[in-house]
Amino acid sequence: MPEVTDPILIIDDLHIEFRGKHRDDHIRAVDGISLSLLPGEVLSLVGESGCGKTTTANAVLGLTPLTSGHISVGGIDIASADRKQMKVARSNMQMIAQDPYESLNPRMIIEDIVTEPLVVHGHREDLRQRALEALASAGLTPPEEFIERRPHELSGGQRQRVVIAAALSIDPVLLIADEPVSMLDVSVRAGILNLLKHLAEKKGIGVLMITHDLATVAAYSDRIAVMYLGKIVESGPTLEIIANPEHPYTRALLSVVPNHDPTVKSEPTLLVGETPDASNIPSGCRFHPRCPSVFEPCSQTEPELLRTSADRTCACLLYAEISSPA
Amino acid sequence: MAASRRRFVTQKVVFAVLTVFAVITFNFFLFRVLPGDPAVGGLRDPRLSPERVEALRERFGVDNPVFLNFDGGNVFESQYFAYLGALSDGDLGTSFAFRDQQVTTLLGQALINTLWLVVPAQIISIVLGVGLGLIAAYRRGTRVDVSALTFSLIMWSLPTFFLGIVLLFVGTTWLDLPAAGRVTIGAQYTDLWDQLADIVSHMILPTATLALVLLGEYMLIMRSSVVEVLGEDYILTARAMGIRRPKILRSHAFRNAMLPIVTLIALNLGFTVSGAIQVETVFSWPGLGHLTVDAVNQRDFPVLQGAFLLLALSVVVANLIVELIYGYLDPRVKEA
Amino acid sequence: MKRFFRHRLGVIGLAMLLLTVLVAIFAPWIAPYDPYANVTITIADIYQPPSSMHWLGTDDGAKDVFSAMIYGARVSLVVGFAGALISVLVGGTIGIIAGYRSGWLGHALMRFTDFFLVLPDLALLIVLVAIVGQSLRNIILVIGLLGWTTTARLIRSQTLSVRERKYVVRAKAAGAGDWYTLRRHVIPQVLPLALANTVLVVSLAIISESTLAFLGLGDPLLISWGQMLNLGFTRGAVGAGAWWAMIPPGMAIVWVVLAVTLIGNALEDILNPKLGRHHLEPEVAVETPPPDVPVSAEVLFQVRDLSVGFEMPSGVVTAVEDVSFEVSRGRVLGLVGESGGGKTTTVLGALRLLPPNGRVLGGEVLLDGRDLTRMDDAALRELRWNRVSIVFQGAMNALNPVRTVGSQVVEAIRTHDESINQKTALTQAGELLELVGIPRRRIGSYPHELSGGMRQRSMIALALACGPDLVIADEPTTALDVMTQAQILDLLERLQRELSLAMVIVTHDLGVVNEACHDVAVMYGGKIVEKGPVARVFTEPQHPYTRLLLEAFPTLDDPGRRLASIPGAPPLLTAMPAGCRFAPRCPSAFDLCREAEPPLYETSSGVAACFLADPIAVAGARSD
Repeated sequence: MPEVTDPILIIDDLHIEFRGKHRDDHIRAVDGISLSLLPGEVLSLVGESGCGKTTTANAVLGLTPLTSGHISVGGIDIASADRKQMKVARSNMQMIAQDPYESLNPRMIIEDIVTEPLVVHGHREDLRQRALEALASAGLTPPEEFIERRPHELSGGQRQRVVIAAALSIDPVLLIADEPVSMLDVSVRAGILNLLKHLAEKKGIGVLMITHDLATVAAYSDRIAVMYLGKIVESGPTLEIIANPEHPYTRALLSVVPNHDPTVKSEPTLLVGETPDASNIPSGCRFHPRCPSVFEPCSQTEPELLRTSADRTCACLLYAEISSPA
Repeated sequence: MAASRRRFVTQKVVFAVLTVFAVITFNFFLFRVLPGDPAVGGLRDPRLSPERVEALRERFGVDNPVFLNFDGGNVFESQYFAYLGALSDGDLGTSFAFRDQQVTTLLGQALINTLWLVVPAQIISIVLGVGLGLIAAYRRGTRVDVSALTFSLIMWSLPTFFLGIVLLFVGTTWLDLPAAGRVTIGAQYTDLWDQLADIVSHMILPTATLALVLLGEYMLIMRSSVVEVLGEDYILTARAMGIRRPKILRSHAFRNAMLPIVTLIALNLGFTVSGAIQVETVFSWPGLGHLTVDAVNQRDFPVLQGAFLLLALSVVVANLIVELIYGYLDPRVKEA
Repeated sequence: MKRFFRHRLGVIGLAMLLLTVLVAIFAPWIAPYDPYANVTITIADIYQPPSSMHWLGTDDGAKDVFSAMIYGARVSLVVGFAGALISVLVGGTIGIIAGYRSGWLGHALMRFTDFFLVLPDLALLIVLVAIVGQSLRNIILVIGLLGWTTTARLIRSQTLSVRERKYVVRAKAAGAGDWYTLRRHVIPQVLPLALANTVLVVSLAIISESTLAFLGLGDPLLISWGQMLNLGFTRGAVGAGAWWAMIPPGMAIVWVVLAVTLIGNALEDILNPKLGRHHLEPEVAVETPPPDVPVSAEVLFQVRDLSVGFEMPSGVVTAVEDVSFEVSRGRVLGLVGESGGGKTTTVLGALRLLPPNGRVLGGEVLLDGRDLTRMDDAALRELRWNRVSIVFQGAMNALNPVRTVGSQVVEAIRTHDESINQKTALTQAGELLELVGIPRRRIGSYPHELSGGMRQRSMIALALACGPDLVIADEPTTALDVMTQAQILDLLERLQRELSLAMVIVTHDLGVVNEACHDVAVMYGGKIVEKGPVARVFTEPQHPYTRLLLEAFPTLDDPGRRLASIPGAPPLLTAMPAGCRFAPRCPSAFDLCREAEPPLYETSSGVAACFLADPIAVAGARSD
C-alpha cells in the first residue's frame, strides 16, 4: 500500500538520445536528469529552448522513448510497462499543451472533448454528469453553458480550461503542463495558473510545469529545477532560489527578467552568444563558454549535481567544496 | 554546404536508378503475369517465321520458369534474367507486325519524332504558362484573371484528342494545313529548307494542340503558386521597404513561386506523355505514342513492351533532371 | 452543405451533372431512335447533315447521332463513377495507412505510390486494357485501379498533418488506441478532402474512358462518346466534313467533365478556403477630407485621430478609433496592449501597409509635417525605409527564404540609392551586420541557417540600411528565448542612443516598455486608454486597465505575489459594448461608464480615458 508521501513521479538518471541527420550525429537531448514530484506539489522545469525540458515531458507521457534511466508514474515504470500497465499509467497522468488553439478538435463539441479520456479508458456511464463536474472544476461556470459549444466559440483562456477539464475528468494524480500560459494574453494567465495551483493544493494532484518564464511561475511553483543543454544545473524551493540563486546561469536568467517598476534599476547579466546546439555540447561544464564566473577547471571537468543545502542542489564547480553528493 | 549537396545529388541518382530497375521489372512481369500471357502466347503469333520463333524461344528462355530457377543448376536461368540479359545487350525483341524489324530500331526513330513535337510544345507552354500565370495571380479577381481561369478550366475539361480533332477540322478546312503525317507523301524537295518547311507545316497543328493543353495546366499551377507567395510576410517586408511593385513581383514573387513550379512540372510529365499519345494519333504523327497505339491495335507485344518501357524510363529520367534542378535552386534543400 | 448552394458555379455544375444523369437514365424515352438496333443502310443515308429527321445528322452507319449521344451518356457516367469509386476506396485506404503508420509499412506504401506516380498513366492504361481485354468490366477495373495514386498522395499528407495535431497527441497521451484515433480524429478530418478529391477523380475517370475508346480500346459492344469519336475518326468523318458526327460527342464529354470539375472546385473552395488576398494588391486611397489643424515640425512623428478599419462581407468594421500619439527625435514610445487591442493595426495603418481590405478611415499621420495618409504612391515610396522603417517579428518568413541575408540588405540600400554599385552596397551591408552583432562572414547565409536571435538582428540591420529617422519595431522580442530577448532589447537601446533614432516599440510586454521606452501609450479595444511618460504611468497608473495589467505582470521583487487576472475577454470588433470599452471587465465601473465613452482626461501622469479621472463624474456616481 503506497504511503501518502510517496512521490507520484520519479525520474531517475534519464537519458534521451536522438540520431541526427548524419549517421554519427548523436543529439543528447536529455543527459542524465533525476527528479521527483510529491502529490500536491508544483514543480517547474525551467529552461530555454533546446534544454530538453519538453523532451523530458514527452518521455514521462510515454510519447518519446527513453535511451536509459527510469521514469515511474504512480509506481508504474514507463519504460518496462506492458500494455495494460501503460494504460493504467496513462489514466493517472494527463497533459496540458501550449497551444490552446491546436489542442481541441474543431469538429467535436466540448462535452465529447472533456469526456474523451473517460471514453478511451472504457468508462461509459454518467459521461454528461462527469463532464459538467470537470468543467466546473476548471472554472467554466455555469458548465451547462459550455457543454454544447464548439471550440471556435471560446477564447484562448476558455479553451485552455477545457483542456484542463478534460484532464481532470479521469481523476489523474499527475498533470504535465507544457507552457500552459505562454500563448495566452497576460491578463488571462493568472487565472489558469491559479487554477493549477488550486488543483494541486486542494486535490493533491502533482503538477509538473514546463516553462521558460521564470518570473511567471515564481508565485505558483513550490520548487524549480533549472535545465541547461540536457542537464539540471540547479534545483530547490522557488522562493529560495529566486532570493539566492547559486548557479551562474540561474543568476543570469533572473537578472534579465523584465521588470516593470520604473523605480527599480535593472542590471541584466547579458550572456554572450546563444545556447549551442545539442549536437555540439561543450567540453567540461557545458555552460562554461558563456559563464560570467568561469575559471580554469570549468573547461575540463563536468560538475556533478551536488547538494548545497538540505533541499537545494547545484551543478557548478564554484560550490564543489561546500557541497555533498546529491 | 557542398557536402550535403553532394549527398542530395547522390541520393536522388541512386533513387532514380532503383526506380529504373523497378520499372524494368514491372514491365517484365506486366507482360508475363497477366492473363493472356502475351509474351509467351504471342510466340504462337502466325506472323512470325518459324526460325524467328525458335530464336526467340532460345533467347528468352521461354521454357524456363519465370522468376527464379530452382530446378538445380543456375538459379538465374529464368525468363526474368534472360530478359535482363537481353536488355543489357540492347535487344528488345522483334516486332510481330513489322516483319522482323528490331524493336529498338522502331523505337529509336519514333522517339526522335516525338521529341520534335514535345520539346517545342513544352517550351512554348512553359514560357507562356508561367508568364500568364504570373499576370493572372497579380491581377487576381480582375477580368484578366477570370478569363485565364476560364481558359484553364476549359482546357482541363477538353480531352486532348478532342481538341486535336477540333483543330484538325479548323486547320484543314480553313487554314489549308496538312491533315496527317510528318511529311507529305511522295514529295520532292529542292533543298533542306524545303524539307524543313514541309515538316514544320505538318508540325503546326499537333504542336499547337499539345502546347494549348499543357499551357492550361501550367498557367493554373503558376497562378496558385504566385498567389500563395504573394501572401507571405517577406512580400510585406519588401513593400515596407519601398520597392516598386513590378520589382517585387520580379525579384521576390517570381523567384519564390518558380520553385514549386519545378516540382509540379515533374509531377506532370506523365501528363505530357498521355498528351503526346493522343496528339500523335489524331494527326498520325509517327512518334512513340502513335507506335504504342498501333502496337496495341495490332497486338504487337514486343513493340508494346518496348514502347512502354521507353516511355516510363523517359519520365524517370526527366523527373531526376527536374529534381536536381530544384535542389540547385532551393537553398533550403538538404538530404531528406 | 448550405455553403455549397451559395457557390454559384458549383450549383451550375451540379445542375449540369444532374441533367446528364437524368438523360442517361431516361435514354430510351428521350432518344428518337434506338442506336443499337440494326438499320438497313443506303449510301445516301451515311453522314447525313442535321435535319428535322435527324437532329444531329447520321454517322457512317446511317445511325442517328443524337440518339447515340444520349445512350453514350450511360457508359461515360457508369465508368466515371464506378471507376472513381474503386480509385478512391483503394487510394483512401492506402493513403490513411501510409500516413498513419510511421514504420516500414508507411514508408513502403509511400514508395509504392510514388512508383506508380512515375509510370505514365495513359500508356499503362492502354497496355493493361490490351492485355486483359476490352470489356466494360475490365475497363472499369483498370481505370479504377490506376486512378488511386493522386488520392493516396492527398489523403496521406492530410493524415500526416492531422496525426501531428495537438489534440491527437493529447488523446494518444491519454491512452487512445489507433482505432479510436482513426475513427474520432483522423477520418472526420480527412473525409471532406477525400470527397472533393473524389469528384475530381470522377472527371479523370470519364476522360480516361473516352480516351481509351477513342484509341480503339473501348468496349466494342457499347456506344460511348469516345467510341463515336473513334468511329468517326477512323471512318473518314473528317474527310467527309461530317463535323456533326464528331463535335457533338466531344462537346458532351466536355459538358460532363466541366460539370464535375465545377462541383469539385466548389467543394474545394469551401473546404480549403484560400485565405484573404495578397500583399501586393493596390490599395484604395483615403476619401476623408483633410483637416486644417496646425502642424508642429519639431515633433518628428505625429499620429492624430487615426481610425483604421477592415472591409468585411458584412461591411466596414472599425479596428482602431481616434488614436493619437507623437514621437520626437531621440525618444522611444511604447505602444502597449494585448492581442486584438489594435496596436499592430495602428502602425500598419499609419504606414499604409494594411492588407487590401484595410482602410484608413480618418485622421492624419505626419512625418516631419507631411501627411502619409494623403500622399501618392511615389512620394510614399521615397519615404519608405529612408525616413521610416519597420522591424517585423523575425519569424521564418519575414525575410525571403531563398535569398541571402546580405542580398536583401543590399536590395534595401540600392532601392533608395541607385548610384551605389553592388560592391559598395555589399560592403555597407557587411558593416550593418556587424553593427547589430552578426559576424560579417554570415552575409551569405540564408535565413533558415540562422538562429532566431540572428534572424531578428538581421531584420534590425535591414531596417537601418537606409539610415531612417524613425524605426517602428513590432513585437521585436516575442517568440525568442529570454536571454536572446534581453540581448535584442539591449541592442535596440544601444542603437537608438547611438543613432538618435525616434522609435515606436509595439509590444505586450510591460517589462520591455519599462526597460527601453521613455513614453507609453496603452491601447484597449482599439482605443488609447492611457498615455504618458513611463516613469509616471507605471508608478501611478490612472486607468483601471493599466493598473490591472501592471498587477498581472510578474516581478521578482515580490515573487510570492499571486498575479492579477482580468476576468472575461477583450471585446470583439463586431460587438463593441456601448460606453467605455473596458467597462464590462472593470472592477471600478459605474453607471456612466456603461452609457458614455470617456474622453481623454488630463491626469497627474499624462492622459487617461476614464471617468474616474473626472471629479464631476465621480461625484455624480457617488450621489447615485
